[in-house]
Amino acid sequence: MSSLVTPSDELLSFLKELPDMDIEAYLDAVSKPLPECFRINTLKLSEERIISLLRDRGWQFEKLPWVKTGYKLLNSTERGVGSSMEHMLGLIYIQGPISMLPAEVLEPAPRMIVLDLCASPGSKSTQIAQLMRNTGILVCNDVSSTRIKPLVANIQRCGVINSIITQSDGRYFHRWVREQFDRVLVDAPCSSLGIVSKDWTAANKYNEKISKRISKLQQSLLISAYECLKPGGLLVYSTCTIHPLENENVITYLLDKKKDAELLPVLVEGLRSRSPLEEWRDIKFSSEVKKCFKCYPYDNYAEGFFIAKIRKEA
Amino acid sequence: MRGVLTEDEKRRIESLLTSYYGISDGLQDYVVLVGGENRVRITHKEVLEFSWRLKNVVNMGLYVAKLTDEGISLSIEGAQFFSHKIMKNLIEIDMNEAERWMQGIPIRIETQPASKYVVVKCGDIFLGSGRIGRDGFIYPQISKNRLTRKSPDLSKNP
Ligand SMILES: C[S@@+](CC[C@H](N)C(=O)[O-])C[C@H]1O[C@@H](n2cnc3c(N)ncnc32)[C@H](O)[C@@H]1O
Repeated sequence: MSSLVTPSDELLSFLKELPDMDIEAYLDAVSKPLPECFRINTLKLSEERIISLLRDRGWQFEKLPWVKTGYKLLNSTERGVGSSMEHMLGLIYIQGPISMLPAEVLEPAPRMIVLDLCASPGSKSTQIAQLMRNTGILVCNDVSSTRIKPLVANIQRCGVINSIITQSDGRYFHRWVREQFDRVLVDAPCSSLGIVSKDWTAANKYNEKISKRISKLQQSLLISAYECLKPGGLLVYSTCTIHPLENENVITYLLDKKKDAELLPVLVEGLRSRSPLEEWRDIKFSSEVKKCFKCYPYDNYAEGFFIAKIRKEA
Repeated sequence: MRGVLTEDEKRRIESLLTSYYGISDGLQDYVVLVGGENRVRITHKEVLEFSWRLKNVVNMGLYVAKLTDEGISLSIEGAQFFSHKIMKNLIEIDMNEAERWMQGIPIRIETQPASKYVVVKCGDIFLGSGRIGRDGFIYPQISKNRLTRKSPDLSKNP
């Protein structure tokens, strides 16, 4: 058995405040590495062709039911997936199993105009490009100059032709492209408490002030994203955290501000999820948040995630 | 050539692609741009037109080729993109060689092509361009961040 990680006092007291949290199960889950998963990149070759290539080379894997071309690796490859030829050629994309969900929920389709507002390093952008079959227009934006480089590299590696990469503060993006997009994804910066297995330092740096500050940023990003959306379009908001201030609270803020925003249920096959909170501490959230997808790391022994699907009235 | 290419400039790139790799009509349906390091990128017209509304555009489309003093080489994606249209200077290697190729290790060829560049493939997997050396080896033109292993000793094939 792997030994449990020790959370900071601040993190522990936050976890204790979550009414549905099993702290021991959380610590057990985040003490273990995330399952190794990948997506097959159909922009390069057909799914069947890449599957047969991987099998010929000794890879064993099983399908993830909630994502079209997602797989979980069952054996370890000679060199590690990240430095495999298949990865470097862009035939596969290594990605967390639940992280593949937001792009599916977004339902991008060929010939649409799509915005990924917080795109780097491009896991979801490349998945969206694949679902758009390299047609239409995909705008991939990120504010960070250091994070643009991996975004550019991943978009290239996956063979994406229909992309425009921009480096702007997403809070102001709507100023020049109001109501232009059929689909918008906000995979927001967050406290990352759902992917602690990847980087425990982020979790141990957790403090309440950071979550409060990020929550404000998330609200602004979400409002700007909503402004960019065409009437009738779909917006997906996702985080890899379990913090109500960054999830339920941000969605409630949008619903309060935008009366034409409608929350749609996120229906997922093959994953355990839990009901979002309708209140926390002394804060009451919209009862609509029940429609969002939420899971803790121990629900699936994978990432903790929150996903909201929003439609702008036509 | 720089920025979005005119039809004339585009034709010049097309004729290079034809003379090096036998690719015809490779760029017909695309907007072609040339950026830093003489990298040739392609995208769709609607993508280019949409980009005019945006601020702080870093790049768009796919990097497919690079213009050099010696001609034109294809990126991995360029080779994959043009795969069905490449009619000459195409070298087939086996999976073991492909593994070495992706580590940046040059491979020996029996007969030296007249061209400065060739495209290398393993079955239907296209592996980008190689530059022909005078020593009878093909040198992979793969960016460092795409190599499978960063090895200080990039020894040639026996
Ligand atoms: C969770 S990550 C996105 C991961 C990405 N969607 C993927 O799947 O690969 C959040 C991103 O938001 C970016 N970000 C933070 N503040 C931003 C802002 N004001 N505008 C746009 N992007 C921002 C960060 O640089 C970071 O890359």
